[in-house]
Amino acid sequence: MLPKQFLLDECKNLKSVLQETLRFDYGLEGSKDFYEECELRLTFITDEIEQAPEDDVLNLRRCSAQLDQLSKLISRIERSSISEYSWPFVCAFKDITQNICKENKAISDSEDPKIHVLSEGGLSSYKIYAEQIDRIPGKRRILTIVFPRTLKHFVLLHPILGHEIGHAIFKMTNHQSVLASILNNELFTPSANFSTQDTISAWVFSNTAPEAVQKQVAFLNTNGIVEKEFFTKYASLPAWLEEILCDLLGLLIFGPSYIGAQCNLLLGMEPSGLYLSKTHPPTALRINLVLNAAKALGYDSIVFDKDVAPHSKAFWDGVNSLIQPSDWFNVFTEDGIKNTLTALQTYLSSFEKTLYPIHDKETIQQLSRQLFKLIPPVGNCYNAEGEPDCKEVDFRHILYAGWIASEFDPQNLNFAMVNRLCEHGIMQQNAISLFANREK
Amino acid sequence: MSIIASYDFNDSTAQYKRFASLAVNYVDNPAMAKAPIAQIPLENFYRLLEMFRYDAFSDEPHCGVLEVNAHNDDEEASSRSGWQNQIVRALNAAVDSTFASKNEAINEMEDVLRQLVRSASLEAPKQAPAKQFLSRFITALD
Repeated sequence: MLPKQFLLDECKNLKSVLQETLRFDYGLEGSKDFYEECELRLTFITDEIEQAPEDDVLNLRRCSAQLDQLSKLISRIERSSISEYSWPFVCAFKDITQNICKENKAISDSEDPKIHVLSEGGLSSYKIYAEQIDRIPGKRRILTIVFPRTLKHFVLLHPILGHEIGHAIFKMTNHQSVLASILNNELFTPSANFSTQDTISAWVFSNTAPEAVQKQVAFLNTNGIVEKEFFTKYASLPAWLEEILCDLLGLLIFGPSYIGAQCNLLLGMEPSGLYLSKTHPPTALRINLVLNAAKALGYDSIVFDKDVAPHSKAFWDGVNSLIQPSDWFNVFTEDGIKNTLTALQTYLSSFEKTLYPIHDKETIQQLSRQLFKLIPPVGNCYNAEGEPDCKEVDFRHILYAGWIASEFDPQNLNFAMVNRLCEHGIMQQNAISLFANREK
Repeated sequence: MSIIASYDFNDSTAQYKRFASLAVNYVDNPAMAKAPIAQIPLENFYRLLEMFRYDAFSDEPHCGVLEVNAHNDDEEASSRSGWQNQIVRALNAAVDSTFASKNEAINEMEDVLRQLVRSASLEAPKQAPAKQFLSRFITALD
């Protein structure tokens, strides 16, 4: 069989897989849109192969690679099982990110991407794959959210997806230049250590760096990588800077619960916080930055009543204890952080629901108290007449209350229980919000 | 280990050349743009113009919140650096040959693509410059 015929046969095989899998429902919204998008892509690729002459090896290779990618995508969607992830969280997450992820298209001025969800093994599997648009012969963009299988119900850790959606947002053409310019002008330029590639390399190689970092630098030196070559032969500067941006976006999208998620997950995976990665700045720098940013945003300054205050304090004391005191980690100026946050807040606020709605004391107190009594935290209580009083509560406030409650009585209300209660709270709040809106 | 070496199939240049070539066919015969598969080259060329408008070509894959067991992603990311350079040069050549400015070129060409995708038709005066732009883009990629 010649390659062209082989590929055409594979198109038929893939068509058959598509019929077998995506005609079933995956996720809450079914799979019709995925089916249509994948079928369109397959029709296009099949047409391209049919039109290519047998000896046009370059075009056949291109089509083969596209077919390969489509096959992988369909398999990923097929594996997406609602029983493996927290669908109440996913629904709420889609709701807050939908507006900012709309794409300007020829067919319409704004179209939502398709989002599908799956779980994989390993804590590091938290990820959002945004398809690389220069490689995908597709009409509609598909985002794949990946959760760690073991953390299905751990909704308090899921705010880390705020960081991941930051990457997807940054890849969108209409956001990229604005966000890059905010970061460059407000955060990097005013920083003595992060203003240029050379100053960052000098900071990494400086003799004030922690011993563990200096050891890695010495190892790089033995492999022939000197200071000037750190970002040309080893690390990627754009990747480092994008990670910093995404940390700040995650914080501004999810609020205090992002802090709990980032500190626990990152240090859980890399406890020293000092690893010099090719793609990510040292974890300790990122943690110092988000904690300083949370302080600048005043997240920790709201004083709760006597029932909640000790546990809120315990949460903030716990995360703040992770701040590395050495000046080496504090590369950004206080004003730089503040100005960056202000500019990013202004930008995010133009997209409905994306920016974290700053919490009010009463709501967090009510949600926390419900959790202390092992009740799922929701915007529902009984008024003086004994009638149910329903109100809208943002799921990010439920998550913040969850982090506070995780400090309440860890023996009898452990972290896993708080997570399950919050997950139930998010699900029930969906129904309460529908009811509350119906009354209006 | 995979059964074959993972060759670099970063054919962005060939891909966009093909999309442009298909777009020329639709400019010549707008009614053909009614076919559902026409939306793929037309939408993708529209996306390219948006990237060109905002100079926003960062489209690298990344590897989650922390680099753990993600070396393949690293290698892929580094191999993709500068994928757009030749494409941007070709777009600039197409702009210079057809329109007075980059903005005019993007606005005009996006309008052409919108008309084709939304109504499978094209205003007659737009046909010649659109075809010239796309053809110049294609030859500049040779």
